[in-house]
Amino acid sequence: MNLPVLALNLALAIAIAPLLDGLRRKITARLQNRVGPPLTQSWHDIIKLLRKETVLPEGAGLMLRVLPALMLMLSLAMFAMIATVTVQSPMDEGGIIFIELAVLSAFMFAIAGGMSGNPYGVVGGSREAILATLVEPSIIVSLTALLLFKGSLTLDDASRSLAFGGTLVVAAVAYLLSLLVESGRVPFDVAEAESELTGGYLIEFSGPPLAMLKLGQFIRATAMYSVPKLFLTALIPVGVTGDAFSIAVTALYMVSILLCTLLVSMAESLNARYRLLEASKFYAVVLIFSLLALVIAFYAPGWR
Amino acid sequence: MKTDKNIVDELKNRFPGGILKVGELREGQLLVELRREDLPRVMEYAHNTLEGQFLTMAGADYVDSLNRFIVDYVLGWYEQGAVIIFRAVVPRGDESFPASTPLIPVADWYEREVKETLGLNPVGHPNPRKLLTSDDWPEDLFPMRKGFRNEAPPPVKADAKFPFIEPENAGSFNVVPYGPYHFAIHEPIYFRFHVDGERITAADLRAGFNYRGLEKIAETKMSYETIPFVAERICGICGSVHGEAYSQALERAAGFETPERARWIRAMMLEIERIHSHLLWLGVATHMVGFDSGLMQFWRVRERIMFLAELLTGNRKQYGMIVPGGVRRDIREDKREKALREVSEILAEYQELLDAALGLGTLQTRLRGVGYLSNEDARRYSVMGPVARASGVNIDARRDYPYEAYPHFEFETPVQTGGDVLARTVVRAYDTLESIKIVKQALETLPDGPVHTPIDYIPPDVTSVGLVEGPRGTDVHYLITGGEDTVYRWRVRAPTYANLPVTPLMLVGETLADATVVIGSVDPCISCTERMMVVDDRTGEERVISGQGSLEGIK
Repeated sequence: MNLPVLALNLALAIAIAPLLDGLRRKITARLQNRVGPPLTQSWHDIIKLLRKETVLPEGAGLMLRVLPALMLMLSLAMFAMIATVTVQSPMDEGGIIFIELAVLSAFMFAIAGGMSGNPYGVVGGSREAILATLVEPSIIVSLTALLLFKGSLTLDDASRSLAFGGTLVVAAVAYLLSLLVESGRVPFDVAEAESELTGGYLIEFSGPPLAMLKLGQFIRATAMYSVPKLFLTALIPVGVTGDAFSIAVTALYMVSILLCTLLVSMAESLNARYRLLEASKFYAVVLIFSLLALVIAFYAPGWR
Repeated sequence: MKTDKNIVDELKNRFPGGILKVGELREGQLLVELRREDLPRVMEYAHNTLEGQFLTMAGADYVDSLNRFIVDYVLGWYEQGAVIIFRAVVPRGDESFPASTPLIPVADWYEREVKETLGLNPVGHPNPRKLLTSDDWPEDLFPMRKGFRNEAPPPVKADAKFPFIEPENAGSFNVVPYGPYHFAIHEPIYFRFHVDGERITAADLRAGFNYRGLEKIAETKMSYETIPFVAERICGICGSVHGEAYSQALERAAGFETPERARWIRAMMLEIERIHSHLLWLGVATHMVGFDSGLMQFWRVRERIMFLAELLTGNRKQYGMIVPGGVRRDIREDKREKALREVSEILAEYQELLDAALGLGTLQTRLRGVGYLSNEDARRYSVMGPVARASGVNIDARRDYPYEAYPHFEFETPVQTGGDVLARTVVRAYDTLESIKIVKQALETLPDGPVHTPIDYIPPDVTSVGLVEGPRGTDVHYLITGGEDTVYRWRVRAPTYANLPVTPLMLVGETLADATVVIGSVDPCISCTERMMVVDDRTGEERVISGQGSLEGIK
């Protein structure tokens, strides 16, 4: 375990995740002819929530109380498995654990809704579970294709066997499309759906627990936004090494998270919300596409 | 073509002896007096066979002077431009009348309201639950009776609970409360859904959270001159419509002719209000399906309309323009020219936005095929305005009951046959376009002259009906003039009162995901309506929905 890198990653995650959400809100606002809130707005929201009282539904169990903190920790743990601004990732061979954490935290929201005891929360939770069941396979498959291609189980840039290839392109596209769901924004915000479910799985959370859930959501999204960097480093020419390589990696990380934020904002402002059924159809196609990456990685080495 | 006289003749042939007297009111409106026991049969024949639209129903208390009550059913034949008031007398001591609701379900709410506010019992009514007053309001206290004073708060009934209807197989379903305060419907209304998974199998409805007794206040505390301002505050969106409908009914009763320039300005204000209302709805509807860019863009254009209203009247909303006798403020020439330039720009901007927004794939997917209302149901429940026109019922009071300057303008009434939310959206979108054109014509052809002349004399005890096509449909104000500078009876029938009872029909079978936009698609205005509850349990019924054709004409 590389502790300095881990500390850097965690600090980065906590500081940058709400800012990225602020950026998303800003871009969306600009696309809608609005000025939009300041970049720091999501931070202000979280701080405000932390100062408020906690109201829990009658008969709320232990699970409902610890769930927000658990969710936050799971999201933070994802940053132990992935290289961000650095070349190295804090933990070696953590690729599989990263995938598992991503899947697990998606289902945590479903559990949160189901345990709230509120009809809207239950519906939101069940929608989240269905959506996660549909989308997580694409995430798993596209990331597995990436790991296969790299020939290592570490989500970093140190093992530079990566070169531009067919698997990489297909897996990257499938990953980016799945990312739209992971962001939890329109058109795939069916589980929260303010105007339909008045917040869905979040409906019974308030105060600090809600702040933790929101921060967890932002951090999880940022972790997912960090992955495209690994695809992008394939674009760095083979001759570049040493400090120049480190600087290029840092720059590409910034490009990666900004690009993902832009993508989510664009999808958000140019679409109406999908129904669950339409979202399912969309992801059936994405899953087939991501399987294609796996097929190429296994059976058509020449294409990579 | 049938005329109103033909309609009366047919009724006379069909019900010999049932019709006691036929009298002519102002401007061709007819008053037909019926035997009390014949009410349901005549109503059924007039509404179902002769295809009259149910406009309103009201009761009035004449106990002090004549020792009786009356109940009036008002039906309209849009095609002939006819309005007929069917009246039956309810003697004191036997305060009941046979309910028409079993034969024509459209009368449901109206008869319950008469029961609740006047204490006249509709015998045989299948659903005599409370409509307007709160759960703890005493059952034997009737706010619209002349003897009722509204100074002191009434005694309340302890342990009051509203009897919601439970479906027979309720055990297997979840209950999802929708309201009384819901994120997306910004007014108090309570739907109670029974859901199977996400599919709605039954819907029950409770309204009345906003009942303010404005009509009573008008009768007891206000004069003819001041009522328009209360009328305008019935609704925060379509205030002028109520002001106009009241003024129209009063001027009709007085046999008064409004000055020409005032007629133009009135029509202009009504159309500006329609544009702002429809743009507001289009924005809210797109927000309801998660397309917030639509909300922002429609409201961006709407903001220009708000500025236009401010330029012409001094107010963004609640213009305070329409009063009996004319309008309160004139429009200066320089403002007219500025407004004309503004309208031309708005027209271009709106056209561009409309093409971009309605062409959006995900938006169409969300709106097509949901909240279906068949043409038969639209007629059966006499729904109004865009809801009716989206189900192929071609009615428009501006064209069929010409008032103010409308006969001088060229405009079309968009009609769709899809019957779904998409069709309602398209109707409103093109309605807006026509309205912008009307405002343009009105500004271009505004005649000279005075804008207000006082009404000298208002004869007492004249019944008249004012009909105005508001953004949500025909607004009907039923009026009986009184002797002492105020109305004897004033009954406001906002269009949502006609449209809201059909929402459970649209909702059953839909999913929770679509509930908001389906309820939203009738453009409900609860503060206008404040009344309601219908149950439908047509579980599992299949419907064929043709969303095709709804988008014709966009490209």
